[in-house]
This record gives sequence, C-alpha cells and structure tokens, in this order.
Amino acid sequence: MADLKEAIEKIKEIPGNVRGDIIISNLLYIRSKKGDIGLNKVKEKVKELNFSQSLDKIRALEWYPESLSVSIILSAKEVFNWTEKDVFEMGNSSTKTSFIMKALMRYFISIDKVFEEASRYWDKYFDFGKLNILEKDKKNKRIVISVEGHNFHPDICIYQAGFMLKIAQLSIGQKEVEIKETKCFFKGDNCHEYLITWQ
Amino acid sequence: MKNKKEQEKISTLLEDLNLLESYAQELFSFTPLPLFFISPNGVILEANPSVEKITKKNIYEIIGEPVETVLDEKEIKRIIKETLKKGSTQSQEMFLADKENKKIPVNVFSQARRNQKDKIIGCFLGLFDLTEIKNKEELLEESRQVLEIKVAAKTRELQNLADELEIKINERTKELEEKIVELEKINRLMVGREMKMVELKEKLEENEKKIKKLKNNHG
Repeated sequence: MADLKEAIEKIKEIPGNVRGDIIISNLLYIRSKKGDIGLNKVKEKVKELNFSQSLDKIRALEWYPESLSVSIILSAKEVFNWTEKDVFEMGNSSTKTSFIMKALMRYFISIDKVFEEASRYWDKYFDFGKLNILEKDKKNKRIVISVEGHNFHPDICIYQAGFMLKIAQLSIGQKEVEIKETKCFFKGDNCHEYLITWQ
Repeated sequence: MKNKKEQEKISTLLEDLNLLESYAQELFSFTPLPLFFISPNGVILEANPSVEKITKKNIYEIIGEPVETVLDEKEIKRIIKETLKKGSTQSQEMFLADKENKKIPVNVFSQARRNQKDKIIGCFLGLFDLTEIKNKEELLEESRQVLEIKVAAKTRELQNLADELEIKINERTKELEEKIVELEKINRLMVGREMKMVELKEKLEENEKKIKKLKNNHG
C-alpha cells in the first residue's frame, strides 16, 4: 500500500483530464468481475489514496483528473492481486461498455477508417497527450501507433494496449489481432509505440 | 466576459449531453426487447441488458463477437445483406443460441444505421423472443390433439352404441315380425273359425227353416 500511495502522490502531480466514461467503464468491469463487494473494496482503496471525488457520482461526459482513473486501475490491481494480463483484459473490456466508444462506432466500417479517426478517439477521451498513426500498411496487415504525453504509470501502457487492441478487433471483426508495445517512455523512449498486426 | 459566456455555454451543452447520455442509456437498458448494434462486417458492437438475459452471457462475452455466434449464421448473413441493400427487414424467424447452446426461437427486425453522409455504418437488430408463443402454440397443438383423440374415442363409443342398438333393433324387429307372422296365422285361424261358425250358423238357420217348413207341411 505504501508503494501505491507513493506512486499515486507522484501521479497526482501530473496534469491532465479524462472523460468520466472511462472511469465508469472501469468500475463496471470491476463489478462484473468481482461483484459489488469487490467494487466497494476498490472504492475504499481509492478513498484511502485521498481522492475526494465520489466514484458513485461520475458522469460519462464530465472531465476528471486522469490520476483518479489511473488510481482505480492500480487499486484494482493491488486489491485483487491482478497480473499484467488482468490489467490488459481490463483495458480490452472497457471499450465494450464505453459510451463514447458507442458514439464513435460510426467509424467502425473498416480498419482504415478506424485508424484514420484514431486521433479523434484520443481527443474525445483525454484533454492532454496525443495519438499518432505512424504507419498504416493494410497489405502487410500492420499498423504502428504512437502515444505522446501520457506517462502516468507502466501498468497504464498495458491497459492502453488492451484498449487499442479491442478497437482493432471490433473493426476487423476477427480474433487474430495482436498488439505489442515496441517503445515505452518508462524504458527510456520519448513516447509509447504500439504495433498492431492481424492475420 | 466573452470567455465566461463561452464557458457557460460549454457547461450547458455538457449538461445537455449528460442528460441525453443518461436518457439513451436508461432507454436502452429498460427495453425488454433484446437489441444489438452490429458493424457491416457482422461484429457485435453493442448489446443491451435484455441480450444478456436471453443469451445468458454477460456484455463482455457478447461485444466484439461475430453475430453468428448468437444468431443462425446463414439467416443472419442474409438479413445483414438485405438490410444493407434495402435499409430494413421485418419479422424474420430464426434461432438464437444461448451460452449452453440452447436454441431459442426469435423474430428479428433490422434497421440500417447511417452516418451524417448517409453512408451505412452498421445495423440495429431487434429481437422478439418467441419462446412463450411457441410454448403456447405447442400446448394448443397438444390440446387439439388430445381433443381430437377424445372426440375420436367418443365417436367410436357412439358408433359402437349405435351398432349395438341397431343389432338390438334388428333382433327386436325380427322378433316382432315373427310374432306378426304368428298373429297373422292365429288371425287367419280365427277368421277361418269365425267364417266356419257363420257358415254353420247359416246352415243351422237354413236347417231350422227346413225343419219348420217340414213341420208345417205335415201339420
């Protein structure tokens, strides 16, 4: 807990807001996996991290500090002793209940269209950072994405990989899609880079 | 000043959006009809709580899956094709498979969803669970069959009774006919005896007349 508290205190200093939609999706995911008891444990943990915002009053389109959203993910990981795979799954599943994602589904016609609009998704969710498409090679079935300015915690890189993978899976319509973080701010790179490939 | 007004405007718009979002969510969650939104290539992008109920799968197991994992592949592909071409389809009966692969009869209605440029971006599917109706239909059919069997049994019973009655009537008729023949015989005998008596009476009267006449002649 001391480690988490310390990490969160540092994270709180990083500016940037996220839509409540992401927070709600994560809370829904926790409840689906661990029930109301599990969800309450996470809420308690977040409270202990000195966040005054009530998690019961989050509204999808309002802006909240990204540090709050990150705290929920990290608290769930600690409370349930989750692995990186679980955090990835959380990111992957959050797209399924996201209200903003539903509104963006108009672009889910093809993978080209989805990633043409990818930076738009970012702006709908965050008021900081940037998402860029570095490479789009439909012939060789690969896309390279970079994320700049979102450097909260290494576990969030995993969460975001899960999130982006689901967007690709939804647009391609098949399971054989993979994602790999090829560059990471926490490993000394200047941004996060993700390679998406499919069969 | 201008900035403050802009801020107020944004805040009002955000509030309106939040209200709209809650309204859409509540409406979508409330409806007892299972509703899907699928991409043109048949991936389930959205499903309401009624879908969870009918499929016995949670939302995380449904979204992102090909629609043919829950609806009959051949039929649903045909419906998507038709919807993308015509804009909508009405009342198509097919089977939905739940988590235990139990087949549930449903009626499917579809409607294309378009973007601002009028390009189709997917389709809505509305399902109507036919289980209750089918169960009632089966019960009705069973009742009809039971009724048919009962009617047939009663008809057979009545037929047997009628046959037995006919036999009895025939026997009775035969008995009566025999009695009539006997009576006729008796009658004939009686009539014959009667005639004979009349004849004898006449003869007696004639003889009496003759005797009287003889007496008169000798007297």
